[in-house]
Formats: sequence, C-alpha cells, structure tokens
Amino acid sequence: MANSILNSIKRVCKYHRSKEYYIANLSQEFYLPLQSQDCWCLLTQGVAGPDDSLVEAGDCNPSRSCFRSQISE
Amino acid sequence: MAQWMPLEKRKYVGKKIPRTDGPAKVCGTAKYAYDIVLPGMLYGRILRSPHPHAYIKNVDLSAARKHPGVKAMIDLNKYTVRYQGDEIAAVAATSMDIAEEALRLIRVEYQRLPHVATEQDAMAENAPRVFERGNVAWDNAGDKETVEKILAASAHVVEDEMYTQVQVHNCLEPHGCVALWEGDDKLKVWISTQAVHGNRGDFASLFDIPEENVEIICEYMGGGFGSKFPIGVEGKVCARLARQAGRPVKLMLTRKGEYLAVGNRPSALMHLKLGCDSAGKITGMWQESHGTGGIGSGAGMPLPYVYHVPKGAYYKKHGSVRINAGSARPQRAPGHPQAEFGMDIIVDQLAYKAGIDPVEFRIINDPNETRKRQYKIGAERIGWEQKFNKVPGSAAGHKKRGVGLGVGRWGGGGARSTKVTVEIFPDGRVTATTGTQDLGSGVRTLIHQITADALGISMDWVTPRIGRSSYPPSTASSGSITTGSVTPAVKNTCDSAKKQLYEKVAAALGVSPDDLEGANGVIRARSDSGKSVKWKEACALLQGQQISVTDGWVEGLSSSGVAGVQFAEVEVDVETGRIKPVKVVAVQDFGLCINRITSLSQINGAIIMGLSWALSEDRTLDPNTGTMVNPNMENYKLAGTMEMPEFDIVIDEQPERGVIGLGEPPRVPTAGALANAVYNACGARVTRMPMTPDVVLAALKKGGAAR
Repeated sequence: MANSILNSIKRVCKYHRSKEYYIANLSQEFYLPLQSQDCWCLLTQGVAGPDDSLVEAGDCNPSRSCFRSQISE
Repeated sequence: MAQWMPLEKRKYVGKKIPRTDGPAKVCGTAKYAYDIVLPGMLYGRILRSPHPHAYIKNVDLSAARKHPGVKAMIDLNKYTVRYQGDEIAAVAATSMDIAEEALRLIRVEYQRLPHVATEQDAMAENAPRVFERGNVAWDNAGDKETVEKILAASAHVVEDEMYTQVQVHNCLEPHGCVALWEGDDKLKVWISTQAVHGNRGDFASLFDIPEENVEIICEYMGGGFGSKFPIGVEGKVCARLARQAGRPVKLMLTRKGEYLAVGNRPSALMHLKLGCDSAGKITGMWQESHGTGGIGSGAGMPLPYVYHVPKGAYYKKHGSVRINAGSARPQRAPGHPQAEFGMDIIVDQLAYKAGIDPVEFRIINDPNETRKRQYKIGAERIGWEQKFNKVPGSAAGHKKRGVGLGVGRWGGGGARSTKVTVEIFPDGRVTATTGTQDLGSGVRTLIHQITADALGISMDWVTPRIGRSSYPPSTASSGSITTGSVTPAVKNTCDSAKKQLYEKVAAALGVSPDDLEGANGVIRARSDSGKSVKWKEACALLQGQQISVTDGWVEGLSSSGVAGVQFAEVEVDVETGRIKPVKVVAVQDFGLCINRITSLSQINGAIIMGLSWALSEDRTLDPNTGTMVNPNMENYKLAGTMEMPEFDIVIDEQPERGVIGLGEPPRVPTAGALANAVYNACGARVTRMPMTPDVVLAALKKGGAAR
C-alpha cells in the first residue's frame, strides 16, 4: 500500500495546483489530484502548462515534457 | 476528547462581540496589501491580450525599455493567448501612469485565431478548439432509458430548462501584492491572499529559494471568495520585476483585469425532468446540462441537489464546456448555487403539479432532519400560511406579492495541521498567534474571544495576531474551514498554556493545579475559595519568564455538515417586470456559534451575494468579438443597498456539534427561493438569470400569467 501511494505521488507534478493542494490534510493524508475541477500550474499561474497544454487533474503526469515529480529519484 | 468551556464560563464565546479590528478598519490604520508603500517602490502593470484567441508572433519591448521611468520589464514568452485579458508582458516603472504609458509602447504581433465565446458555439461541430483535446469534457451517470421509463410511469412529471449566468468575484481589494527582495534569496511579500502559508511555499518553489526565506504578510484582506488561492500571474511577475529592478514593486490589478483574468463562477444550463408518485415522493430525475468555466474545467454541479432520488433513478449527461474566456476559479460554494437554482425550481414545479404545498413537498423528499425542522421555522417566520398564493399570480393589482423557498447544504470541517502559539507575559498580557488570514469570518475576533474565555480573563489582556507566514502554520481559507480549523487549535493551546501557569499558581497557593479554576480574571482553588490570585498577580509569579506554548488542532471541538433553508417574499410589477425583494428569512445551522455579530455578517453577505447574482450580475461577452462588454462596476450590475430587502436571520444552534464554518452555506439557497417566490407572486416561471425586467416580462408573456 505504502509503495502504491508513493508511486501515485511520484506521478503528480510538483507544480500542479488546485485549492485542495492547500487543504490536503483536511480529509486525506496526501494530495492526489484526481477530481479537482479548478487547477492551475504554479509555473505559469494559468490553466495552460509550460507545454501550452491544459492543466487538468490526473493529467499533469510524466507523459508531459514539462513534468517534474514531487518526489525526485 | 476536547470540549468547549461550559456555558457558564463563556463570557465572550457565543455572544455579540464587535470585531476586534473594526476600529482599525474604520479609521484606516488597518493596512491591506493595496495600502503598502515602501521607499523606492515601483509600480507594476500587466499587458493583456485584447483578442480572445491568437498566436503571439512577436513581442517588442524596445520602445518601452527606452522610457526613463521604466525600471524592469518581462516578456512572458507566451505562444498562445486564449482569452481577452491573457497576460503577455509586464513592466515596473516609477509611477502608475508611466507603467501604463510603457504598456502602450510595447508592440505585439498577433496572429488572430477563430474563437468561441458561447457554449453553443463551442459545442458545435468543427468549432475552433480552445485546447487541442477539444472543448467539452462530459460527465455521465445512470441509464437514460431506464430513467425515462421510470418517469413515464410516474404519477406526475415536470420538465424545464434553467439557466444561471457567469458571476465574477468582485473582490473590493484587487488581486496583487507588493514584493521586496532582501538580498538574492530572501523575499518579503504583502499580498491579498486566502492562503498565507500556501503562498509562502509557492513563492519559494517558483524562485527555488528556501521556504523559510519567504515572508508572506496579509493582516487584512478585501475579499477573496475563493479566487485568491494562487499567487497569480500578478504575484509571479511582481516578484520577478522586483528582483530585476532591485527595488520593491507593487502590482495590484486594475478593475478590468479583475473582471477578465482572475476567476468567475461558471454558468449552467440545466434541462431537467423530475417525477413523483401520487404521494409526492420523487421517483426519478433526468438531467442534460452544460456550463462553462471559460478556458478552465470547473463547471461541475452537485445534482441532484439535497432531495432524495431513488438509486438507479437518476440519469445525467453534463458537459464542462471550454470557451475563450477567463478561467473559472472556486467561488463561495462552488457549483452549489447553480445546482440549487435548477433543482429547487423543478422541485417547486413538481409540488404545484402534484397539488402539494411546496414546503410539505420538500419535507416529504428531503432526508435531512435538520432541514425538515428548518422548513417549519422558515415558513412561520415568512408567514407562509398567510402569504402563499394557492393560485399563483391571483392577487389583485399589478404589483403582486408571493413567497418561495430554497435550500442549501455544505461540508466545512477543520484542518488538523493548524497550529497556534499562546504566550503569557509576566505583566498579564497574552498573545494568541497563528498564520491564518481573515477571509471574512472575523477570525481575529474569534481568536480574541476564545483566548479570553479559555483563560478566564478579560479580552483587554489579549492580543490576537494573524496574517504572517512567520506565525505558526494555518490552513488556507477554503471550503468554510477557517473557523473549524483555527478555533479548536486556539482553545487547545490556551488550555496547554493555562496548565503551565496553574502549576506556578498552585505552588504559590499550596494547592494542586487540578484544584484551580479561572473566571473573571481571578484564579481560585475550588476546595478553598479563600485561596485565590488575580490574573495579574498570577502572571507576576512568572518572575521575568514567559509561558510560550505552541499546540494545534484537536478532535472534538469542530465538525462538518450543515443545513440551511431560505424563504423569500417578493413583489413583482407585472407591468414593468421589476422584482422587488421584500424579505428573506434564512434559517442556518453551523453548530456552535462563536460570535453572533460576525455570524450574522456572514449570512447577510451571502444573501446579498445571492440576491445580486439572481437579479442583476452578468458577465456579458460579445460573441462576435469574444470580448467582455461590461468589465467595470458601472456596467456589471452589483446590487446595492436600495435592492436589499429586510433580512430575518435565524441561527439554528447545535452547539453540541462544535464549530462549523459558515462562509459558504448561506450563499446557496437565495436564488431558488427568489425565483420560486416570483412564480408564486405572478404566475410566470422565471427560469433564467439574471431575473431582469426583460426576462420577467418575457416569462409573463410566455406563461400567459395574470397581468
């Protein structure tokens, strides 16, 4: 289980943000943005990422060129 | 499990205590980010796209750079702009006027692209795409055929289409900040934010500097309503400009920037069908809907709202539609007011069709026991029995009155990460400190009250301190959790600090610390009331030392889940179409009420925001140009004092549940209550917002209602 959570967190970009990011410990232990509706990128401060594609829950993952893992290897 | 102080020990908690910071706000000594002026400070401005969709071919800063008053410039290196107001470049200059002048000197070469400014255009076949992945994200649930069969077999079925428009946040203090670099890697930012500690982390990540090297200050803020979590492009470029110039920079958005670029509540078009059996029990619900949050994705809604729809009897097809307009951001109860408006109108229609009183119909179908009770309270306070028109629109004359109701629910809760430091000084002074921000709850005052009551002293001894990231960490203000996060942490930390002081006092009085209690500024032994010390004497026992305790949120003092109903009485002039709200009754639970003044303020403000949304506000885009035609407070119509009716607020106290946040829940029921009251008054269903006179007259004409 622990590895599963760790792997999930590794696949979330460190620059992905939603309001849940700031209150993650309200209802869960970790911030895993799968449902967030209003998301943005910390680097651009907009809903388009540095790759000019949409920032969306679950989509800021290693498949994108601008991805940076929350937990680097 | 932690507990609030018993009722007899509450001198301030639960009472009408004026805001601690009221005098500072009234006298102007309260400093907002907007008020900050530093020596040598520059003024920042952002160049925005005038086009709704374009490629940026070139940005030429050279002419602006030559201006002697310009001290720093940034090209944001954007390839595509996707809405009017999208940020392209920024400047910092020695005055606001020079900064504006410099923006006019920047030459941008655009390649215009086709745009979509309405949901209909965006959903059309071969529509221009806002992003490559397409313009609509669908969310489906249930089986359409099954639900249609259920509805066909139902005793009564109603069907209608409801529309709610885009609403802009309209924070009186714009988004923005003042940034000051102290060396290469220390940054100080005065910012209007609802996430003091969140912003510290974000600035640190953005500039790759240690988090402890960033200081965020937000002692006062002029409204956020959900739009002030991010530091924003304005925060990012402000700090970059300051670093480049080597001078502090202030960058607060213009009002036009506020309207275009920093969030809104998405629209919703809801085509709904609802059925019930002969006893009035809802049998099934059918929903096809969509809404737009601009280029963002946040147009979801929690339908079916509140009322019980049997399992397997709900069908949904909802589209979040992207158009070329500024992105949505969370706004005071995201999604709920839209859902309430659609649901409460269709429920109302079904009640009338089934021949059941709308209040009774809700009691039949609402599983929430608190609201079942609140319906009766609200009905009595509005005078439902006397004022409800059994035949809508049947009153004589052209100014017709009627009543209606709407409902709401919300979560709330508390963030366990919240920390507070309480210090007790030898001279008797007490500070209670946490890095929260006051988004409107009056949290500074709540901290003040609780600290005084927990220690059994006058509020005069206590100084509450908030709004700095150098203070103990506190959660972002989001989802109505500030009060539920901060107040338990304050109470718990005060208890820990008191324990340390009582050990000193006990030693001096020769009693056990557990034998001591404090009230009215005196600490005495329960076993021998002759053994006592005044608060000041007790603190003097510290003899040059001070008590400093940092502790945090604990279970047992807060909870989540609230219910509310609102009843509205309106007068509709069927000749002019003008709606005049006469009275709104709000019955709202939020657990333990800490302060009756700030609580009433929250509820009043929420109703005002709901009334304004329902009656006049409208972010209007020109579909041909894709630009907003009313990006100012003159043409974007916010309701004013003349539009406000009488408010009758009923605090439905449930103190045994502990503290629950109140910021969002009363924002939900207002629009549905108004729309249903309009129908009851004039006999025409107004299902489209804002309910302006032309919309009302069109509904009267279509409905053939009494005039």
